[in-house]
Amino acid sequence: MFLIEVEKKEDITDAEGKELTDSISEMGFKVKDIKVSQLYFIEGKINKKVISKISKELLTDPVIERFKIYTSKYPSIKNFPFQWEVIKTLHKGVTDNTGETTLKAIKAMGIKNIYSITTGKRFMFDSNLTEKEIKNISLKILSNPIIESVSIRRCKK
Amino acid sequence: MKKDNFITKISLRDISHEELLKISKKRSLSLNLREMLAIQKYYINKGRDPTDIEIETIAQTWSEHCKHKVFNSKVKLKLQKKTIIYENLFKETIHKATELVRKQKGKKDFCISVFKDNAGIIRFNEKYGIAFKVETHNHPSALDPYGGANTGIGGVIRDILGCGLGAKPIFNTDIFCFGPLDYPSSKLPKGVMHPLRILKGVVAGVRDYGNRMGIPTINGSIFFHERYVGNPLVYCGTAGIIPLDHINKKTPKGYDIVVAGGRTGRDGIHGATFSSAELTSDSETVSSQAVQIGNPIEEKKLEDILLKARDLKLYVNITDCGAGGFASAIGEMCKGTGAVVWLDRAPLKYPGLKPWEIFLSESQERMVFITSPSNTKKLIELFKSEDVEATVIGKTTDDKKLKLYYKDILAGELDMDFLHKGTPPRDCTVTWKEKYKKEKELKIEFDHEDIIKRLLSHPISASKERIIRQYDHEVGGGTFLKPLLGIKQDSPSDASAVAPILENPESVVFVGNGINPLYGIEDPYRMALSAIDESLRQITSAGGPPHRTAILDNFCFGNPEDPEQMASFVMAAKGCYDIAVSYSLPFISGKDSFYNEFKTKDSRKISIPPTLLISSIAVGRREDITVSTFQNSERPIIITGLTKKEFGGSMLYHILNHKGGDVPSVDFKNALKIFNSIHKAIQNKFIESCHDLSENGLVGAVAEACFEHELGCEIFLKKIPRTKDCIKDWHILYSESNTRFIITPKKDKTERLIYFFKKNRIPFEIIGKTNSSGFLKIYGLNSKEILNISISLLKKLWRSSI
Repeated sequence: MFLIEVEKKEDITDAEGKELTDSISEMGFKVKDIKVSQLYFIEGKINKKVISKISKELLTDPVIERFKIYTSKYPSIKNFPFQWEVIKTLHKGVTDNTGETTLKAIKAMGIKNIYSITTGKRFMFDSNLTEKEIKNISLKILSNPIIESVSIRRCKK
Repeated sequence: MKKDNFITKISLRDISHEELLKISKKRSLSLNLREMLAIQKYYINKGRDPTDIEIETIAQTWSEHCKHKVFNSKVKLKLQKKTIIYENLFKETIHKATELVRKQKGKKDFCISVFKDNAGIIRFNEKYGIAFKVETHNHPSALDPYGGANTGIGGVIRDILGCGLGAKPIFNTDIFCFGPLDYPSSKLPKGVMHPLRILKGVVAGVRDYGNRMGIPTINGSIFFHERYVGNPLVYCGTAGIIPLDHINKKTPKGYDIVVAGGRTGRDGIHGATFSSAELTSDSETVSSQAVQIGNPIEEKKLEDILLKARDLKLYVNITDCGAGGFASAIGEMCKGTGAVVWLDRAPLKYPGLKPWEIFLSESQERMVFITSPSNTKKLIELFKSEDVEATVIGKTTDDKKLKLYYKDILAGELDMDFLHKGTPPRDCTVTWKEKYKKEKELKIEFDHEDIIKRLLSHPISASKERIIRQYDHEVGGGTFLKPLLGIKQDSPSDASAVAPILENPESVVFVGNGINPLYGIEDPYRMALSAIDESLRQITSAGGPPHRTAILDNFCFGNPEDPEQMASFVMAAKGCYDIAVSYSLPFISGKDSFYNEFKTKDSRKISIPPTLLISSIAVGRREDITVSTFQNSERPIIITGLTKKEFGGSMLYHILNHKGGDVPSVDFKNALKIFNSIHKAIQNKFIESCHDLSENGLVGAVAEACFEHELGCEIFLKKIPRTKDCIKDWHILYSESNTRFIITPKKDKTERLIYFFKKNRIPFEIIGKTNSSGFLKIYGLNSKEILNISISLLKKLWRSSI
């Protein structure tokens, strides 16, 4: 299994993160910054070279974005400059349109042997929120518990 | 898979009433005891027990969503002095009004298909018809605002695609009712999202689907009230254009049943029965399956090929897979004939679905076709050319039976007649108590400046620009009258107009809407009158022909088991009948949604205000399009219609928190004359601007009319035609009486317009004139100045509160 993470380059505004920062601050929580990246979980009989090609040619806009490839289930949080990480994925069985469309596009590139693609989002918080607060934010703002699940990790800055 | 693994028999024949109800509840069937007993009887006669797929299919077909049991019930309505009996409420109100109106119109009847297809169809010209449908998607939107609204609009677009043999969508319209945006989070019942989050999600859902499908969203409205906190309303409407020779559907025997589009998964199972249940704080968890996920790109592909296949005459019948999935689509198309379905042939998203889940799944973006075996291959090939999957899943028969197979095993067999006609009728007796309680006199010192500021900046009346701008209202290039007016596109428009055929831009379709739940709380009968009047006012003031206007009804009410809710629903239906006949407006399609209520953990029941949305549509001429804002200074301002002391449910009372009063009624005899005279005057090119008076009354309308060019005006209240009880300035300023317009004539046309109105004997008066001062100045009944306020200040307030 491979995990591809696509994020904005450093000097590019992360609009989604900014909007979230604003609306979470509006609710009275102290949040310095939030970064958002897109996750693709890819299962299939392929090697890293192919994954790299998919990331580069299909999933990333090279002008404003860059990608990272992991072979683990979760992205790495080594040297992570944030306090909290929230990963949001769809419940099993809920239609994942982004995933399905990505799979179609990969097939159109002539790449075979991919079984499934699911997608998710990663939110990284630069903020000293308590565990209760981050849980609350995850369930009330970041996700809809009816169709999505979240997993929260505390990271050392 | 072993047979008993995927088909379950349900022992039903010799169990008690309690156990029957237990089954209904456990399987989320939303069937009541009478219905469960009817099913029990059917199977006792058959001498066997039902399978799960049979009972699920019956529950789905008999659901409120598909069958409209409440609207079709027998009703005894007790009024103060008389009792009215409706053998079938729907047939004797909405349907009867339409029949009468069509008869009245005779050769001028423009209705082509009403109440039988997915959408109503009216005549556009000698070659084309316009199909229009408005749906509700309330319960899914409460749970997942984005997905709910997304699939709401996706579903109504498919209704249009599946109307006749396929219509091409030309515009969307969206109307929402939410809780107040500043509602304190601490007061939210458990499991309920904040109104602001619901609004953001719903707007994004509608935006993403409509914009991606390339359909302009040109009309809408948003209403706020605290009784929508637990149960928002989301109305999605779409209109389409269809060649007149592609309207009739048929189902011959021996034809193939083909499904095309998305694959089938567990999405939205029990959506139809779920909509018949009230939301509770547990709804979040039990109904996670009821949420569907929309995919506009898939639907766009479906649309493109479908229209191609229609023109090649590759199929003879089509319908969308909406609530109830295959069960509903195939059941509906083959109810007069019969069908065999091979469920294992349906393409699935993932393995492991039981036969009944396949049959009932509400996975999105699927359409079902009936095609002659000689065309099936061509149809499938055509879909394949655009990378859309199409598969034969059944065949039509003539034995009036629905036979469901799974891997050669008969999973279920039902008689079409029982399935479609076996529902036990519902009846009820309701009593309506007229609320003619004497209203407490409003005793306050009026600070008009403060009040007008509060009225115009109230979220109900404020500009919805921030939302409208997220929608693409230009795509297609035919939107001639836009939802926002002026060079800066920042001023209000009464209605919108779009040309569906760009080669013939002279013919346009006007669309408007009327909704006022504040009236519904006070008097549902008059709410119906006012909503229809408002929807016709919008069409008329924009230049559309009142005599060629058709309307759609969308009722959203609480629990019909509650006698008071049912009584108010019956009164609203009665109102619809009375006014539609009087105004000669045919209903062409509609929808009703009940159980719009919310039970909190401490068992407090909150039900929504009685809400009726009327959508109006008319085919007219582009040259008649008239703006609602003042265009020049030094023009006389004319008001038409009579101002009455009618304040029940008014915005004034709402902001002052004052209860009671008469909800605006209509003048059944003379109102139509006003509409027709204004339309003729527009056609004679006498009128430069025309704006209807609705919420906020005269003062709101005049202020809004000044916004575009930031003009000013002077108004003299004593000149306004009014009833005798209007004795105070505020009676005239804020009354929301129906059928009133403010009009400015074209240059040098004042005298001819006045002569014309006089000749037609409609109530009107010149009440002031426009100027370039940029101030709204009003003189009271004693001729003294009572208000002098800057238009740019008002416009700023109006634009910045949402």
